[in-house]
Amino acid sequence: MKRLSTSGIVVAVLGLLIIITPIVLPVCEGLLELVNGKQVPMRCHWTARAEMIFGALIVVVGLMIAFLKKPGERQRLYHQVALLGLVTILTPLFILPTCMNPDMSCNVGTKPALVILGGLVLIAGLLGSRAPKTPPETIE
Amino acid sequence: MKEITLYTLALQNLRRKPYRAVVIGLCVAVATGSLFAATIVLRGVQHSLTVGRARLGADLIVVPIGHEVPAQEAFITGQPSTFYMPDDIKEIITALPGVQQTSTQVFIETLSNASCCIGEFFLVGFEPETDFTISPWLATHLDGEALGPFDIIVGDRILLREDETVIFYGTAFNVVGVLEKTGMGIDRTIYVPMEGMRTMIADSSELAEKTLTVAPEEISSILVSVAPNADILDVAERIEANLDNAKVFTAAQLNQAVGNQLQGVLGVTFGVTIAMWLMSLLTIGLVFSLTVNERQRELGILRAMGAQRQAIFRLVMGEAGLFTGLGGLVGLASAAILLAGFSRLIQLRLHIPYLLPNWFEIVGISFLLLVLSLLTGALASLHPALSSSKMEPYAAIRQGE
Repeated sequence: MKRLSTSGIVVAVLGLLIIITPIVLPVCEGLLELVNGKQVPMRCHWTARAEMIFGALIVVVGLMIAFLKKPGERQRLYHQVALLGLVTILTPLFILPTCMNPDMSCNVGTKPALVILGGLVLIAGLLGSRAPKTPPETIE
Repeated sequence: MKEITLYTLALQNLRRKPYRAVVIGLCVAVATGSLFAATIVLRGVQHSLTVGRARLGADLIVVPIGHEVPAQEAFITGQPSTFYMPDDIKEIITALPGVQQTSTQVFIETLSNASCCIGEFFLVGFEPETDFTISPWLATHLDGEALGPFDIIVGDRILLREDETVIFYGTAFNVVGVLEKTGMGIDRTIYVPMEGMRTMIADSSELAEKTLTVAPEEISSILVSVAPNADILDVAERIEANLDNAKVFTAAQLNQAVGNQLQGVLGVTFGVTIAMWLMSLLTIGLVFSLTVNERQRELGILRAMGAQRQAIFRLVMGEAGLFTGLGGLVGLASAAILLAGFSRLIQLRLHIPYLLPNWFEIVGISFLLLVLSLLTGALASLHPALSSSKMEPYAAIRQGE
């Protein structure tokens, strides 16, 4: 049986952790009432949704890395992992920022967890995307 | 050709057996990281209490009987709590010997949909004429300018900044200052001059969704400053003896309340951490004993090539130092990242005040823990290092075959 790449599995597990983060450390649950009386979820709700999608993408790419054989193909996928890690970090900070109040649950739990996990994904992506080592010449 | 040194040999061994290095490193990383996190949290709580008590300025706090715990909670974490007692108590307390100064406060909770912030916040009405909590801050930050009835001062964690206007219970207030961070309840408190507070209470029936039912002669707490030559506990007892419906707690009791909250959690954390250190010590010792047995031939050849006993001893100790040192660094870095990210969550879940200790202290604690992790490696590998250095080259090569 073909051996799976451990680093690919690690990336997939990190992606899984990103998916479950908003479940374990939930974002704010309250609804905001607009002037027209309509109730809408707070903006961190969309941050969590976006991060769950990125997590799912990281899992898929991680599994692809785990099953792929050729180092060159893996290297290309690691570039994508690094990019997804960066997006995971930037989403709660700038792209779809969490709520303004620093004491709200999205800011005290979900955001730091996602930033840390995104950082780990980024590091894994950068380490994996280094050029594969050429095997040393052996003297027969 | 690359020179072979003890360092390069140790590094090669680390690369040759990465799994072993990772296991040893992880043992030390987890133990060092946990100890670092527990120590920083403990020091952070102490730092916050020191800063918070200095800001509070009062020696004694008088609250209605039966409300001591919510009052302490309000001062420590800023959790809003409302309770009232008649204001004639103030005259009785002021007249008692040993009492230098008194100031009354009124507590009100904001509505959950206040214009500034979602969630309930703590509104504290204070008397600018008699107050000694906010006034010293005012003197330095507002150039001694008098505070208007609708000028408010907010804690660091309230999402309001200077010159902003905010409406509470239908009354508009102007933010004139933001207090420095203390890590305590003060950070989540909004200080309103008593005149403005009373106006807001009176107007709430017409302007607000909810009417405030605090009578003009009702107050929530009295802050007491004790005369320099008087004993704080004696004055506290004297006040309690003269009042039937009030309870006194000292600023030191706030520390005690936090201590009680922390005792269980930190006790378990320190206990588990010490158990982890012992486990790490045993694991590293065992791994190095097995490694030395496995590498008898290699060490024997090194001895046959001219390596001194001391060099073999230093090689084994150096490897242990390298593994545990790197593990310690990884543990410290991980704990620092987790603590930076989740300190607020810890503070809210444990209901404790927390203010990051100063950087010199953090660097000092990190250095001590790094030395401790290196010592763990040295202690655990001492016996294997001694026994390997005593091996005779010929016997070692033969036994290792």
